[in-house]
Amino acid sequence: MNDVANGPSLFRPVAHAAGDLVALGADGVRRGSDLLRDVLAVARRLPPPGPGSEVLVVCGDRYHVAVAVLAAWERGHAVALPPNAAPETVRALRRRPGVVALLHDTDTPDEFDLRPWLGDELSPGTGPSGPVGGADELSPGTASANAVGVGEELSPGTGPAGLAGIDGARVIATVYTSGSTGAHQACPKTAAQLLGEAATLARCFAVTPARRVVATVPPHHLYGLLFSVLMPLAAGASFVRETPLHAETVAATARRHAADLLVSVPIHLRSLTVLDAGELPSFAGVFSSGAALPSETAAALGGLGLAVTEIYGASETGGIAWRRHLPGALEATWAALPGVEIVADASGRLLLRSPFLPPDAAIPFACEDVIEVVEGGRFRLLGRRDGVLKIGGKRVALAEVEQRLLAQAWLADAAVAASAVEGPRGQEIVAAVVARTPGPDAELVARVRQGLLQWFDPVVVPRKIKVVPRLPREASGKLTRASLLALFERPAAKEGPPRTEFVIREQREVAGGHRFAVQVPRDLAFFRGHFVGLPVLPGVAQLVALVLARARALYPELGEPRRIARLKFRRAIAPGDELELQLRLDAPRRQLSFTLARAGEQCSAGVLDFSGEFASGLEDMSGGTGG
Amino acid sequence: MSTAAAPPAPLVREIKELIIEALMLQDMSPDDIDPEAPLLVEGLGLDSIDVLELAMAINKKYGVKTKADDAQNRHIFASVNNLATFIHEQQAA
Repeated sequence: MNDVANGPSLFRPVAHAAGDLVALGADGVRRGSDLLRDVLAVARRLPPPGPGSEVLVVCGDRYHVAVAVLAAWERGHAVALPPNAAPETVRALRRRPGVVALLHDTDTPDEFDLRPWLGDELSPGTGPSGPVGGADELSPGTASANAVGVGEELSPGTGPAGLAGIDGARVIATVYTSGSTGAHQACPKTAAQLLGEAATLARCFAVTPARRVVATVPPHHLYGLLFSVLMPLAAGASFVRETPLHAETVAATARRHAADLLVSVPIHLRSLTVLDAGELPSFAGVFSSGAALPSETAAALGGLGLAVTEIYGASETGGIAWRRHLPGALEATWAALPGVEIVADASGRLLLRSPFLPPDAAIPFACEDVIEVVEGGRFRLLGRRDGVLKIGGKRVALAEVEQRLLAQAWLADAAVAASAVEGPRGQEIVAAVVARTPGPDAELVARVRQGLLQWFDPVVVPRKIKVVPRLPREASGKLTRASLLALFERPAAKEGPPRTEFVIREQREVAGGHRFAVQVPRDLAFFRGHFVGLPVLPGVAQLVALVLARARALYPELGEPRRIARLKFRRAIAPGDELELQLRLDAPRRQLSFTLARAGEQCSAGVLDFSGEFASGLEDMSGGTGG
Repeated sequence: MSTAAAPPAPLVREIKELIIEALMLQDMSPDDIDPEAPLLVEGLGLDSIDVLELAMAINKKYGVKTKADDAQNRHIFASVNNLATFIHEQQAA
């Protein structure tokens, strides 16, 4: 970053001089002078900026991503990077207010293909047809005070390092989370967040201009964008344009372009372990993020002579911490990235102060992870906050059970989840494990159980342990609770009697009422026969079996409700959902209001009237199915 | 890649079983998989992670490695028959 005395911080995205290498690939080498020429050519064709204007960037080639993003910034726009290139996703994002143009390098033959405007590209179509987004050609003087303005002629030898610095407070990008709940969440980023982090990463990992990055992850998620495009740009280093997937392709691509930094995710790194020592080039650095790197993969890569640097962070928070596994020595603790401060509150919850947080974030920002700070300011990651539960009065962290499983050398992978059950336990832990060498399931399960009993009270040792060939992880390596629990679903024929009660995990008294943490059991009777294949909880079940049941237990004196008012069903409730129920009693009016929310989003709400002033009965309750 | 000769039927069946086992498609039997149908998206609906998983399983079982070019790999993993032909050729080589 470049601090201007008494002025706003300006961030320069590119450090390259004209002759410096920027990108390598099958479609050719690009240097600083090429990048500057192409950025200005594309910027000239973009419509003028307005408040909140965004350019949608859907490019697979990293050089095209760099050109599109820098051109949009140079012109005064922000960019939005769709979570995937699926036509429906792109169509939906094009409808976002503020989106003024689309830049892509896909095979869709339309005027938004940016390749015809680039100097060295063979134009696949008829060539440039005019500005994108239907706006006028840029008139001189509309751009902000640029070092190299889009309206200016280029003098020979100019490099992209001369592109305008960007005010740190300006929102320059929207990235999307992959989202363990399935929904994509938009994360707007300022220049200080995004370019500040790129510069910090380049310094922290000593990325010199000679380094060449190859990545197996696409450049549209925050991690891929930062590590495979923005970090090399900030460092004056270069990147490979393609995204190889198969182990042999990764090795060949890295060799062909003499790449020495590999940016990847655990599941891709795992597939590299089929290679023999010497097949992979000796990378100076290997980065992994998106999910925890299984110790088996780290050890196998160590055997190939590779040290893996793991990055801990999230789309919402940016990078938080890192650790490096040296061959033969797995690292258990994390170090905060430069400028990031980490403390734990009394419950162990991670409290974060970071220049990569959104400007409007609460400081310190309370993360959903639990940590243990150890000597030297480093910390151990203990797992998600919601991963701590009580079984039969014994407190247990799911992450700890999982770590003890992964520490058993004969297991290749393992994961655990909590699931609601009938009876005094209330919930139980289920575990799915992948054995390295096959054997009879019963023997393997007994061995897993024996291993855990050395560490845990028998009450908390998973009762259901399933041996599977592999875990249903997502592309990022993430494993959702729902897909893990699905492994344990009983076949329909063996289903037991259906349940009619919700699981109340926690109950608290709050001002004017009560708050409950509720789990919706997967085998709740109300899901039977309701929208086959798309189970949602009927509204009447929410009211009678949950809201009214709690109300009767808390306030038996109220009697029967006479009327229901302001009843709303906004979001469908599905099996396995974790909900928060709030009840507020207006005692003088004998009215009880309720809200049912999931992850802070309201699912349903209404007011139960016990006053007896209306005698219309409960017929209002039949409305809505919760979906 | 030559597709002149059809791959041996036992190998085709073995690969179907390997796919079902490696990708946990417990609800399927080998007969449910059309050896000519695309494995990715439109057919079995495999994604890139499944393909990597399958590549590892094939490496383990047959000692065969995929190509150093993802375009060729897309062709190899396009269908059960392509996969069987590739493994057959590699084993013969």
